[in-house]
Amino acid sequence: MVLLGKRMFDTDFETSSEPKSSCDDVCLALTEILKLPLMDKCNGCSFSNVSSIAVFSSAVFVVSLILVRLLYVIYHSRSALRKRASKPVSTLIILGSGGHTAEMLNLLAVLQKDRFNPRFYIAAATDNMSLQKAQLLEDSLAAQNETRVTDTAQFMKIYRSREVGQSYITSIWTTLIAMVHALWLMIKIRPEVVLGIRWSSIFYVESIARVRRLSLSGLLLYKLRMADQLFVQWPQLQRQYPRATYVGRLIEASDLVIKKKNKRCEFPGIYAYMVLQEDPHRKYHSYTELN
Amino acid sequence: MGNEEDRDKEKRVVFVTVGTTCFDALVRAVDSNNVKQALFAKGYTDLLIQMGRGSYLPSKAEGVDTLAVDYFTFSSSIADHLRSASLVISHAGSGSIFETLRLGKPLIVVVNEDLMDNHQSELAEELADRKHLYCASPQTLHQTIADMDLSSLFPYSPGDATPVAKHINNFLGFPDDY
Repeated sequence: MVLLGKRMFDTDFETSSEPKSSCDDVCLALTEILKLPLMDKCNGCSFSNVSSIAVFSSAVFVVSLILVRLLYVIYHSRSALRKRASKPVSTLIILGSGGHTAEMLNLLAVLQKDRFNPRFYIAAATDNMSLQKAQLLEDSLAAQNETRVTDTAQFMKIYRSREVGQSYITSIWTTLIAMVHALWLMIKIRPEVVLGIRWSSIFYVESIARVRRLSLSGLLLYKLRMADQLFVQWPQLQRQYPRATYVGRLIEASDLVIKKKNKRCEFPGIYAYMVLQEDPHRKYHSYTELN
Repeated sequence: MGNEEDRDKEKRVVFVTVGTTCFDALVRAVDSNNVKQALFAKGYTDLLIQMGRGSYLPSKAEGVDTLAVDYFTFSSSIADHLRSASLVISHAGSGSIFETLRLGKPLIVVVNEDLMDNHQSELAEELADRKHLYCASPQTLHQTIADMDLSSLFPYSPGDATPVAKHINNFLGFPDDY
């Protein structure tokens, strides 16, 4: 499995609606993770007790996973994985919001879809735009190859660790919820990852908006050596963080649409127009093909 | 970029956009007399403000011997407004910046100094150093407009995502066929 990550954990998301995270869903997820024995054994004990045990044990679980992952990446970092050359890799694509999603979709447009398959898209629960854009891309691919979208792509939402303007103190709690939810999604998508049958490679692309300093997500992945490859879009940023790889700018000439670069990846006119009705704030986003 | 300077008696619209944010300082700045005068002196005829979630309402004006002023909060046709503008004044969001640059429109980016951890200015300043746009603050906007020389701006050349794809392919051991 490959993770293409972009800034899920940053301080400047542009969306504005209310966070929808509810504790119930998380507790439900946790009890499912623990296969419910806790609930059955102690009928009399309170739910908050169960959930605090669950939170604690999953926190320990997450920390140990991170440690193992850390040692693995430090050991393997930058060495190519020659063994996996031929078969497709299932790919988890993490979409930030706004301009960041556009950057990620630009990258996806040039990646060979037959190699990076199936694709799982994750966006923040309060971000309605990103998954719709990904859905458009997948629809056009499916139409092109005469396949069904459900065979090659899945779309999921995740709790956000911090909303724009949310205070740093309350974001400790929301970040924990988001982490547990993220873990749950990983289990759901690909049990091998958690069971340790196969390890994932993590690729992180820093946003074009970061010229002089890495974002918080980028910095964490860099300092903890969590990412196998960390790409930056400005040379001065690479000079400051030598282990990063400078790859030039990802922002294309026309939004979401890649032309000429790779004949497999042409989606003419698909993004002709897209208006979202449900929220007046989001009506601002319109994507027009600039042929 | 500069050839639009020469056209006379046509509508020359300045489009101001704050995206999905709330940026009253910018709306207030473009609504101030010195900015409006600077724009009018440069030959612009219309000022259209997309004010987002802000609460400051600019004063509408018909504009016979002055700038015509109009505003709205959100629109589904931002791209159309950008396309028909002769000058764009925008907040520092990367989406708005690149959408405008792609259209080859002259752009002044106004950085919101009230935001905490304001990394947005990094991008605007870097692109201003590369002469793709002008960068201003709400206080200096009128001066930037008065001093700007649109013919000195360089068009933005599009980026390319293939190097990243290449790296990922190499790392995973896929054959290189770019």
